[in-house]
Amino acid sequence: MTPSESGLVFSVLLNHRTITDNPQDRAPHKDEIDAARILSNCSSSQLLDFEDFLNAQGLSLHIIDGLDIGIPPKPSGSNKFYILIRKRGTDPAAYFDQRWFIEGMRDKRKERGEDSLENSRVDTIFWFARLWLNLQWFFYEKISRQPSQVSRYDRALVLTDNFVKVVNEGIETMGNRGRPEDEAGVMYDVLWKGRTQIKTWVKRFLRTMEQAGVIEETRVPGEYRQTLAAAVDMAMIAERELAYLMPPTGKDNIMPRSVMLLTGAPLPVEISEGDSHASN
Amino acid sequence: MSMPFSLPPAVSLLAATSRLIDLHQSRREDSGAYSPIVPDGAGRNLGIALLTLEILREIEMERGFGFVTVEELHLHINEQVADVLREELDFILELIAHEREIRFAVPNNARQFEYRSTRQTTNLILFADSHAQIKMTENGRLFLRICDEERAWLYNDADTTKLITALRYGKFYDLPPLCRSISLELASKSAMLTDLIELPTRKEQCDTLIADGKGIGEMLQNAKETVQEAMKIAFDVRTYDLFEEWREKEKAEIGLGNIQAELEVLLKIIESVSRRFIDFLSIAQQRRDVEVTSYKFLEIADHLVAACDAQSADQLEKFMASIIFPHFSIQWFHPSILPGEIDFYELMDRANGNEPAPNIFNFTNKKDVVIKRFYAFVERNRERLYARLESGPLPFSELLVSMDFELHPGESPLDFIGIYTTPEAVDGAGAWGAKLIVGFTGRETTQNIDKAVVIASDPLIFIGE
Repeated sequence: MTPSESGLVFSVLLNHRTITDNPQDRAPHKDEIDAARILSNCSSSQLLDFEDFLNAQGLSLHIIDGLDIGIPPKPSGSNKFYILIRKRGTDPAAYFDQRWFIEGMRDKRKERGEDSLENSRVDTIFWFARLWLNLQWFFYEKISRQPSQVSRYDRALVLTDNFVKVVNEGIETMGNRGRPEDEAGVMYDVLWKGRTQIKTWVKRFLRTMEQAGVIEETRVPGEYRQTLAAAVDMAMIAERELAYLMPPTGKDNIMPRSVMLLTGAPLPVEISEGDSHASN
Repeated sequence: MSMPFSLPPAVSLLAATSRLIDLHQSRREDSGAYSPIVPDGAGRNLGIALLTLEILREIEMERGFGFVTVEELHLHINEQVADVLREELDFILELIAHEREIRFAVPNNARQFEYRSTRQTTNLILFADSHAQIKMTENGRLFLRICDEERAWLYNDADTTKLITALRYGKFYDLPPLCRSISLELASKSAMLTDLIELPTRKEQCDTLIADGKGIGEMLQNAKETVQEAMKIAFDVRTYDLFEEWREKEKAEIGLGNIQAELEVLLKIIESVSRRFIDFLSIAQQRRDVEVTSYKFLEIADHLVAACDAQSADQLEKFMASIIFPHFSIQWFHPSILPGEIDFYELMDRANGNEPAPNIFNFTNKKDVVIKRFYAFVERNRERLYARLESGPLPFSELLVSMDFELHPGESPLDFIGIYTTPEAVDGAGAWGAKLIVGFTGRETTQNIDKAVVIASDPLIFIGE
């Protein structure tokens, strides 16, 4: 791989995250076929060099054989899927914006003076987290799929109207349960106040998720499917980060785990044990 | 979460066809999707019926296609399930021996349906005249055979032999669809293996595959050899002649190359599935006892509300930032924004013991003169350049035309070209002022200097920290 070839491959990866010579349900992106050819012609040592280069940017390349996820190859294609992922345990390079999603959730109409939502940063974060969890419910729990089952990404679908309905129901149930006392009610207040604007929040959230390459619209308007890259991400998130959000088991409480999240420390054994007991 | 379990093949088959049967029974007037209410005893009845068929087959294998007395059958059933009563068995035998009507329709040439019906292919057993003896019908055997197919996982070598037949008998049109259907089948098996690798808790399924491992391995090997054999034939001169003759006659649009390519792909797929199967065996054997965490996302969402405190927003922001793929949006690019930047030209120069040479150009062709003149030019104009850039970033083209360069005889703004390959000549790695940054934009500029037309890159130049 010459420097200019790695430049081409890197730029396609940065723009689209996935490179393949056998795209499903879409036309190839600009330069994608060339990039796939360059990558599939690489020797393993060249791929390692490229991986080193990506690692320095806090990134990594995940390779999936299309056949493994049920995609038969075409003649003259490698049928490989190259996916750009974050390298766990390292920060992405400085030219990346990690908190762009907060800006992405901002109401674009605000500038045109049509904004009806006075949403602060905190509101955005609380709504974003809640909607993200709801989205994962559609992609996993609803279809009895485990995050490790990457290959079932093609079955993970969500229709905007149903999404709004599920979020709505969740907020209603939360309301019926009552406000936690004092400071603990902050998130409750934000969500309860925003319940009349759920549709708007969901719309912005899905738009942001589409931008993030987590979902892509299907042939049915308003219906989205999980992308392969997002499924690969989620398998790793479930293994590592998700445990920090899980309700504590036993005497453990959320604070130490939050500290662990901030410092990136591995989870203590008791939590892992608790998790494995959960399904017994 | 309830643990997934694997279905007996007969039940899979029944389940797979059940909605067609329901549809067959439903009326359009019934509102919504019709789904019959399953009676409490359904499972038991089905269990007895399937046992009956299996026992009948075993007896057939032992003694051939004769009648079996209901009494003997009942004894055999009781060996496996003690409390099955004779009355129950009689009821079930009566039912599965009874024909029922199946109506169906096939499209004709006039793009209309032609309606037909069948009865004979529905009963699974038949009674002797006495009603005290039964035997399995062809339908019963067909049912069991299809169930076996479902068990015969990955046994694709039978299909691959069709490739050789098609090649030998010049049925070239059959080949591409045949290859594709085998490919598709193998791809679905491969996906199923991946599914089991990703979640190796479906013990029964895993166990069946592990137990069948040797057989499956052999089958894949046979399939591979058959496809290799088919390829040999496809590349043979005689096949070429046969193909040309066929193509002439059929006025076919496919070439032999297409068929050869399809076979090559097929071979690759078989090799890949074989590798996948080995992956599966090693992973399944290691991780069979792994329990999976169940993720209840909506509960987590509620838990976050209940456990909220002053730090929650910051923590969640940090969490989300760590899992959402970061965004990059830069208007220009320079290798220096990549961590681990390396200048290969500089490395090469240093390796040869030379000072890095700036990549510059003017109409004086002697290299050392060019370099000396370039540095002198930069030295003289450094302050002006910084002063000009104080106001903000500027494209190279604008600097060329708008800067008031201090020129010596023979010099022109042309001497400024090349500055974007050596910003360190200007800032001396920070020694002579703020760092000069050159960002590539992909644009070009065309300038008329000294009666020459100069086409150069038009990067964005600005002062950094």
